[in-house]
Amino acid sequence: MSLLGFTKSIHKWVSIAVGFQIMIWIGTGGYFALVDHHVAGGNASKTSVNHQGVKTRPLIPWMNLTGQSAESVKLLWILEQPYYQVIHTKPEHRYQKHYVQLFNAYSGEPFVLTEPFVKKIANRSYTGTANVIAVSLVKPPVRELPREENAVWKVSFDDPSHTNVYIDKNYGRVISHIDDDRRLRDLMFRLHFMDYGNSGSFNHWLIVSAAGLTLTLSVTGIVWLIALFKSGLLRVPLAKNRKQLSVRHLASGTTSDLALPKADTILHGLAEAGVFLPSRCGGGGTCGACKFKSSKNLPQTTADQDLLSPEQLNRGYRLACQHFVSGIEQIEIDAPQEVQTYELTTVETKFVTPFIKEIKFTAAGGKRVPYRAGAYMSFIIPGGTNFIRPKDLPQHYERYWQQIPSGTFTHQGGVRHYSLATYDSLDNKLIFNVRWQLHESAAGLGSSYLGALNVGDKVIASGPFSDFFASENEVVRRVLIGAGSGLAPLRAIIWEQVELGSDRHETWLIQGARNEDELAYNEEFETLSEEMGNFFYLPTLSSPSCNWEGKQGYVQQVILGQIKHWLNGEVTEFYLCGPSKMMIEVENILINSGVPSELIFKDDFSSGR
Amino acid sequence: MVVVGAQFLLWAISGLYMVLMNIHYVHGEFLSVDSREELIGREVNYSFDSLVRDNPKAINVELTMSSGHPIYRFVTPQGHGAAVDANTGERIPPVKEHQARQIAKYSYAGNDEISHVKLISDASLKPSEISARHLPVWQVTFDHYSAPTFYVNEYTGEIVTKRHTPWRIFDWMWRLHIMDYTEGENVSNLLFILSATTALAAGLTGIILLVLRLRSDFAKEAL
Ligand SMILES: Cc1cc2nc3c(=O)[nH]c(=O)nc-3n(C[C@H](O)[C@H](O)[C@H](O)COP(=O)(O)OP(=O)(O)OC[C@H]3O[C@@H](n4cnc5c(N)ncnc54)[C@H](O)[C@@H]3O)c2cc1C
Ligand code: FES
Repeated sequence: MSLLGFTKSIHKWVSIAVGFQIMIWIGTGGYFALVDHHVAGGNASKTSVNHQGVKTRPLIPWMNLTGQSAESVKLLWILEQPYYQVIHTKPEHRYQKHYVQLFNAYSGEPFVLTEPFVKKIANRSYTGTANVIAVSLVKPPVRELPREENAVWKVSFDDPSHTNVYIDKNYGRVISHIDDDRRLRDLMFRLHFMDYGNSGSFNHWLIVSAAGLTLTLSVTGIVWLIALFKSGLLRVPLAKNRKQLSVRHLASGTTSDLALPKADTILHGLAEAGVFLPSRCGGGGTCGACKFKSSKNLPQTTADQDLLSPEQLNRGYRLACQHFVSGIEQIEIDAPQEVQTYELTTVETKFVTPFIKEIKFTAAGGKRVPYRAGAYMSFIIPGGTNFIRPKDLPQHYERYWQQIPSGTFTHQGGVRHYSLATYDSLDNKLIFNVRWQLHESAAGLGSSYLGALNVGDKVIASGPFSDFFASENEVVRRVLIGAGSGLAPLRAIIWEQVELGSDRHETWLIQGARNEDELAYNEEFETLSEEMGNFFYLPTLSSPSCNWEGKQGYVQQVILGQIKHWLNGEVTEFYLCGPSKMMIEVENILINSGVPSELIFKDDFSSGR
Repeated sequence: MVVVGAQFLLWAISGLYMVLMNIHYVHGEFLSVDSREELIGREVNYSFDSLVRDNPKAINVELTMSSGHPIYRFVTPQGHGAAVDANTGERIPPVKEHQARQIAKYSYAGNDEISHVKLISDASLKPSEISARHLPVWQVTFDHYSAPTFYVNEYTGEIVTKRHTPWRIFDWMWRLHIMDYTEGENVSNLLFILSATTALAAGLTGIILLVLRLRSDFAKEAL
């Protein structure tokens, strides 16, 4: 992985870990910025209390008091009466534990703050009209004053904001008014400081780790941003200046001049002009489908480098979502000039494995839909309510569905891509294999929508898009490797090869499945391999029944067993389509065995959205 | 996006600094020795009663030890500090430079030399790290890389506050954190509100992207 790739993946993982707390930080930060601090501090009904009085009698010398040692002595006025406050130890902060005694400064008698005093002080400090409803001495820990280590007096008022006035028992001074505004602020502080244990502190390991991760996130984010800038992918959009671009269509050999917005990517610019390059990631730079060729030597973005082979890069191929119209005059593209939108009518639908449905459509008005084997179409899935389970599940597949709840779920709709499962140039039927996707609480919205179509139902789809197809190279053999619904485009390619009637080269199919039931189109392929001398069929099951006589295990093992034979100095191309994990492992095996990456073609279903 | 990105970085750095540094350390509590002394009662020949008689408007009267002698400290009606010798009852004259040095040295926990001393009495010339209510003060700085500084009140000889580099950095970090690039106390400036809103939007879109991304990763596994 490149350094930038590494940075990106750190960025993503870290954002999972602290993303939520960051939102809390921003949200509470916003609160602090907007709130009126005087009110939020609980000061709405607070006024300062002046205790200072005038001496009316001589004060008793402090040494006449109980004669204890002290660090200092203060003359403290409480409600206009003088007291000696003998301080034994005075901590740095008021809320820390302190050892203090009070004495009446006239009589020298020990003095303790009692309820009537406390009530009077609270009333003086309170500007509202409500009455006191409770007075109590609270020992630490004091819930509303988390750092307090001394016992404090709490005076509660009967007002709508539930004001509590806290008074220091050693000073007779008001510590705070805690009302609902203040409680909200304290909650915000606790959230901001991640003080989920109410310690009143922000020096704890939880927030330190979150802050460390956040710093990592910011740094990786900025590195990423800078990389995007350097590659010209980020820029400040100016006016929609247009520019003439000459586009040569390789399929038809024609050239057209299009005026495209300069600031758009080539992908979006062309789409605006009605020319749709294939794209599964919608311009995200992760699918590698939106190739174009330029005679001018364009800079390479990291996505170009990750998704195109060095050879393609040398020949001038780049990704259209990664380059801007402004930098280019002339390009060549290998895409249909126009993408059609079709209204399709369901003509047949049936389960071919426990989870895969074969669905056949015809285009409205008997229109022919031209396509190359391996192509896919994009279905518009309208928002609505779907059933989690199919209604027409054949009895013999029931046992695979026992765990799946019945019921419905609602969704917003979207666009989903499905590969044409056959090469059917004579018949106008379009055949798809749709795997019913399931997860805990619902089903995949697109697959369960299409899976539930009845004969006669209509759907809208556009395409076909072609970015996975059998090459026109002179090769000795093509090895197709697939599993699950990934078989769809492979099956189309097989029939295309059969129909081309070519006996010049071999076609192999390595099909993986769990058991016999899941092995879609098994009989069809068996028959084909008996009829055609150059079609080789190797199904392999990971957990077959005891009647199975074929290969057992994963496709990876079959490939390891055959690879020597295939690579015997002859040109062999590989076509992969199936679960991501399988595709990655197979590709690794091939690359490690010395297969050049230009000879490996992949159809990755998970690169869509 | 870029601007918010930079501010995000500043928030992260400043936030990390502030949570990483123990607040008691930042406040330089370790800088002074525990100079608590017992009051020596027999040296107090001038009583509270006399003090209040001679200074009827004095507030916050406190009897305490200062460099080994008992003194009274209080605040005058004019709002500045004053000190009175508890033995003789005489006003203690304003602290001179050599006394300020002595007081600072006496309570300083390290054994570095004093590098410079300066009297600050004009509020318009005060450094931003002290508040005007502490004036006039002697600024006593020690010769150490963290530049520990003790502020000694000229009238009372009391060490009113202290600073060292980690605390000064903390103040800077706080300013960066609340995006107040001028004064350091105003949490609600417009810049902050604007950035907080954009940041919120950026954060939210980030989370949405992340959720989409995770869902498509699950889809890979489920094919
Ligand atoms: C070029 C291309 C060709 C394709 N061809 C085919 C094909 O021929 N046949 C085929 O079957 N598919 C094909 N796909 C895949 C197809 O486009 C869809 O991605 C797939 O059917 C899932 O879509 P969905 O709407 O049913 O599921 P979504 O609702 O999009 O969900 C995606 C996955 O996430 C899971 N999921 C969704 N929500 C949750 C949740 N809340 N908790 C946990 N899990 C959740 C779902 O179970 C599902 O596995 C192709 C994709 C591409 C890009
Ligand atoms: S659209 Fe360009 S890489 Fe996917």
